Amino acid sequence: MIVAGPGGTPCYDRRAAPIRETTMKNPLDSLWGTVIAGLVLTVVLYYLARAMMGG
Amino acid sequence: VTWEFIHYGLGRWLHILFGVMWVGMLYYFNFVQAQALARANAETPPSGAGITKHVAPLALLWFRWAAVATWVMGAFLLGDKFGAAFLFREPAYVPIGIGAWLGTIMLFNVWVLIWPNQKRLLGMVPAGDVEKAKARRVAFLASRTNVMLSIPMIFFMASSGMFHFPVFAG
Repeated sequence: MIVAGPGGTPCYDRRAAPIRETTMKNPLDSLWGTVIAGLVLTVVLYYLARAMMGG
Repeated sequence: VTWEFIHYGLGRWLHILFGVMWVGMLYYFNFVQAQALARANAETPPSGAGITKHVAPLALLWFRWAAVATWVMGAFLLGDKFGAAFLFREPAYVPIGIGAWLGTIMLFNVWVLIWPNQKRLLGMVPAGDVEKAKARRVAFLASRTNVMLSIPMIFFMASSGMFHFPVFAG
């Protein structure tokens, strides 16, 4: 929202800006998140190992 | 009794034995004790004191020393290929090298992040409420990180020999 600032110059009113709160969840906070993260890491490291071994 | 038997027979056997103790305790903490304590402490009055006082210190004792023994036996098992594995010098030792690095990071987490913070939580080291809250979070995340790392670690420990089979390695 544009409002009159100091000296009448238009400026953006931060107070009117919608506040959107997003909370990033840590997968390690849940057991299933931890296990899934471990499985994903296994797949990533498997392909990394293959690449390091020359394909 | 040959050196090969001691190295690859007894060495592997002890490495696996200590590893089962270490990871078994890790899974006990994460899959059993944490849940049980949360339920016990939600009761009125809280009923988890026995676990904290009698079970956790003993479990942590076996947990942290089994971690050391597992790593030492792993290093013994690698023998003169220790450098080849850890520095990825030879392609054949890349899978076991990745497993060894994961195990080493886990050992670091046990002794540097989990155990010092658990000592604060169990009252072995004096700590205020704020310090305890921080210690609880750090120990929890380090422990969960180890559960996550244990999954690829066991994969690479168990399958490093199979990487050379076409059916497995593509």
